[in-house]
Amino acid sequence: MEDILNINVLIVDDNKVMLRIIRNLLSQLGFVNIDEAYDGTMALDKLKQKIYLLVISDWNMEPMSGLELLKRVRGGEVTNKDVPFIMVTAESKTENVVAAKQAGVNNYIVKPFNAETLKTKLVSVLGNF
Amino acid sequence: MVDPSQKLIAKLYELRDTKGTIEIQDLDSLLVIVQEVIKDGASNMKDVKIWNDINDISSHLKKLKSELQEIQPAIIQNEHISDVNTELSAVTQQTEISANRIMDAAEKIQNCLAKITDSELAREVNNHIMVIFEACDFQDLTGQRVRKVVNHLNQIEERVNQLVTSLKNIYNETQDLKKETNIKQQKNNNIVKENSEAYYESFKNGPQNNAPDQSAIDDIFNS
Repeated sequence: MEDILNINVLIVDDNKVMLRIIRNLLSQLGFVNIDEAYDGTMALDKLKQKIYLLVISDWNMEPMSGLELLKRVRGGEVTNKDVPFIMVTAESKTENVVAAKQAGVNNYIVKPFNAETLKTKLVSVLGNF
Repeated sequence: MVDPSQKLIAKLYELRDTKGTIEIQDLDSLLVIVQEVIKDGASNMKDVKIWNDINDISSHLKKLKSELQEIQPAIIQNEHISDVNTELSAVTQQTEISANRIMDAAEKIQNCLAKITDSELAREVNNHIMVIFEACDFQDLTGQRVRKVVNHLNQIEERVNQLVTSLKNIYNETQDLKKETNIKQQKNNNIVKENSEAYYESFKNGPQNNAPDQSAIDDIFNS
């Protein structure tokens, strides 16, 4: 369990309030190594420089969307292309969920969400902690 | 194809040159040509109708143009839409400031939890604090909706510009067509006038009554 809580986590969102919220919720759950990226390009740079074992990303970002980021991660542009990837987004259209799944997303959280939902999804992706 | 009015003039020249007058038996052939002139005039009337229709369209467009000017698309673009963009951006900024203030206060409460000895109470308070944090996602969600509205407004602005440009082009093309039709009509009028003048002028030449004889002409020539 401690191993899980010590992993490097990258949260990606162009909204700084959202980054703060997710950081706080993760901290409440016990995660200690949390980095932030404000867009897909910054996220890719960080993923190339450090090994992350969890990415939590928004979908609606410009110029690179969360889906585009996911595709590039899974495409091998980063060190750990199979890094667990959770999409957190207000986009709840079926085709978007399907597209994310086809691109290799591990789980999908629809905004607004609460701490309990976040924990459930994290457990499904990382295991119990 | 010979213009019927030209044909009529040519026929009259012919009658002048051969007979010097119009006889009753010539009336039939003249009447046929006059009928052709009338028929051609009717098709010219069609041109006149088209010209009138173009004129009407031009008037309508002129009216529409001035109505559009009253709408003042430039002001819509430069002021109204610009104002809306500014206001909506301000909404996003202000909600961000407020959300951060709420979270600052929530974090301060969290920091005070260590002072609560009752662990049950501390856990309960912490749960409520997390709800406060979760609820601050209003800023992100409203921001996304605001962004959609701004995108729609930008599309409307673009469409308004396209509409104004298209109407300007149609109006200008109609004006050009009107001028062209005017010129054509004027040209036709001039041709008819010149031919009429030439025709009447021609009566001053040719065989005349009480004309001087050859010897008189020789005198004039040799003087």
